Amino acid sequence: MTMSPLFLLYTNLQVSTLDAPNGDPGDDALIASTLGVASLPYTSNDANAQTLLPAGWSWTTDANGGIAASRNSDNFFVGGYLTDAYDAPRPVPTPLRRCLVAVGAQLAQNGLIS
Amino acid sequence: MTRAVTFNGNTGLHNSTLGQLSDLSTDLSCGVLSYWYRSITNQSVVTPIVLAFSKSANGHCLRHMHFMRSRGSSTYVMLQLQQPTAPPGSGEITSFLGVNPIPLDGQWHHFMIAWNVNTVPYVREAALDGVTMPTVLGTPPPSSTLAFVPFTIDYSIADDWEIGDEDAGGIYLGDLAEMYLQLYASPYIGLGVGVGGQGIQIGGKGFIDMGPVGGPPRNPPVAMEIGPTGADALGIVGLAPQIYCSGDSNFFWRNVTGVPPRLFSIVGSLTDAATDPFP
Repeated sequence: MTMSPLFLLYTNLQVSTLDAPNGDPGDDALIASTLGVASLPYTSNDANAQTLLPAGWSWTTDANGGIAASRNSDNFFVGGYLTDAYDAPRPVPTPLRRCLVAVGAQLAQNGLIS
Repeated sequence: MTRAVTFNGNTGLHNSTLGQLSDLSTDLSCGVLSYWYRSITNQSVVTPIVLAFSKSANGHCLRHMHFMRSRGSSTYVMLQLQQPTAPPGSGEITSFLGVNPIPLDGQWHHFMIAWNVNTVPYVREAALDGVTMPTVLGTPPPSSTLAFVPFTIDYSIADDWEIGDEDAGGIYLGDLAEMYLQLYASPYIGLGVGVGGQGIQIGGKGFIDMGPVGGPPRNPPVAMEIGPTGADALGIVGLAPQIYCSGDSNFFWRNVTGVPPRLFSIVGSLTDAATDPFP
């Protein structure tokens, strides 16, 4: 089963937390082509990243105060949690974290998991 | 003859019946994956190494890949495991991501990862060429409490087992040797294997005790063998691996024998590698 484009994007962004945490034009291009949005710097610009959340969702915070999103209709929550090798929360720059959560919400919204 | 095979970019090994093995009739939470690879260049974004998918149910059970970001320049190892009962889209895929890029330098390298996800925090240990590689955990818990949940995996639903291929969505280009996958229930069970001792012995660059500085290695490189006697997979005492692909192109695809047969079918051509990782 080939990885869906949306999950491929999500996986790509997970690797970016190691490889390009402060943003990358390649990631931005992949976001634009996968989500069908304008070509903008998303992974380095939080204002742009905030526009990626699907309709019917709102930004919120998780129990640690981290960026998260919830679906307005049922409060379905996406946190996009990442831990380090010792299971401590791993800091990720805000724009990239925002992108991860937004794509996680897109996954939930579309019911796509692979 | 070398104990390694070449995947030429159009080669894949497929099996639809491994999920029917009796030892997969129970949901499992632990696993060990070990293999040698030799590759030269970064390839497609998703380079699958081994996968266990279900064609009928949603998603996958296990996907291990060499992953390079789109327009990236480094390749990382990533193991993805799926919680079978979680609702679709709720973040049921847990990823273990090696923190360091893996070398694609035309040399043989060994990678090994072991995991137990039926406990929290999830236990995982990975090593590249015998050196521990930390892994970061990526998963979007569907709860604001951020609580990780112990889980097991139903491999019996997997009717699409693949090595080096993912339905042409990604195809491995390079050599592989000694592909070993053991899925099991309890972290305390006897696998009949060990590392560097009488069980699995992994040579080449892997798992060598270098000994005192300036002195000779105390654990000389030897080929990987399975079973306490070091004979072969059939000599194993403990659990037999679901996948143990070893040898040249005449044997690698046959996997370990058993009932039902565990052999893979070859898509494309599988050829002998020019070298293998063993002295």
